[in-house]
Amino acid sequence: MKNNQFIPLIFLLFLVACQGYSTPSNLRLTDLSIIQLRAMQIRQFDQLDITQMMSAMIKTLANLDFQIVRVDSSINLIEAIRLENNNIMQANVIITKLSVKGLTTIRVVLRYNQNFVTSPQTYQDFFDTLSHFLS
Amino acid sequence: MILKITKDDRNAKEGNIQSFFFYLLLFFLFLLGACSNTSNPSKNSMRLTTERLKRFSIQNRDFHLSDSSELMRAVMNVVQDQHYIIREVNNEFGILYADQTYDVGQPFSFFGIPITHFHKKPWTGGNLAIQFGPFDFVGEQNSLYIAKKNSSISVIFIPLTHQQGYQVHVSIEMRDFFNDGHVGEIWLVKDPKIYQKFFESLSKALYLQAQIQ
Repeated sequence: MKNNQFIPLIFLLFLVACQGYSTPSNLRLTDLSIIQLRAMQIRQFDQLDITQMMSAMIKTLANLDFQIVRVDSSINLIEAIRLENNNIMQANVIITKLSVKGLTTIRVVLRYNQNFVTSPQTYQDFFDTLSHFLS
Repeated sequence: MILKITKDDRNAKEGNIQSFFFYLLLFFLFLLGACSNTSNPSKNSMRLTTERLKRFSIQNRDFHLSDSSELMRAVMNVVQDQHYIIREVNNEFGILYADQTYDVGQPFSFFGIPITHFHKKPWTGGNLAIQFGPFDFVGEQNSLYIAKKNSSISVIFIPLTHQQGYQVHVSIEMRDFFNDGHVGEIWLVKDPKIYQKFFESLSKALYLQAQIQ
């Protein structure tokens, strides 16, 4: 008789396993704040000629073994992908001209397999390589 | 005396079982090792490493032509000759992206050079398995095997700074797909012969185009 009292408890225990299927509170892939992310991903350059910037960016991506999948010249977007050692790296680059300050802004978004790249060093290395091809 | 032998025998058996589990554990640890590098890119991911710089001469070639559309037309013909389907072309920035998917049974080559599974040396992390078509990994039912291979090619024109013409950059990548749609092995083709053949075919295509005009 005592044993029967544990049966509902066991079922409750099973239900705990279902908790993992609850709705996520947001769709973001990282705990980093948007400000932190943007600080990593965005750089400003004095170079005003967008076409020159786009060419340097394409050259940088190609030399880092990326394949350029798409270039949209009307909004200055570059989509690139790299396959190496069983991993997929995806890159999205948007180049914007800031007419007020006379600067050009570059935002690079990197995704590694299913994860968002959150290491500031990776972005820094990328911009260093870009500077090499801009000079 | 007899009793002693059986005891030793039992001890030996227990020892065998223990070592079996030890090696099984080692094997699973080895398998887990494959998961370690999937969450973060490697340190040299975005750097111009010496290995990348060495590949410059393999993947790049200068073509002294003033008209980029003529060069693009020749590239499109070469890529289509190798059965690729062109996905994206932007002549303003000089980019072309094309891909194709093979079934595993199909003959598999670029410019007449067969692509084997031995694209990397085993001691640098290459795959030792030889694959003769669909291959069972787990049991007979619901088994996983490599069903398709996909290859993509990217061609980029970089204007030459000191003279007229373009530097043509080519990269060819491969991926395996399992029958359930999962991506298997992924790699960049680094065989210099394949890139050499590509540039030879491109030179021929440009020559033919000039003859027709």
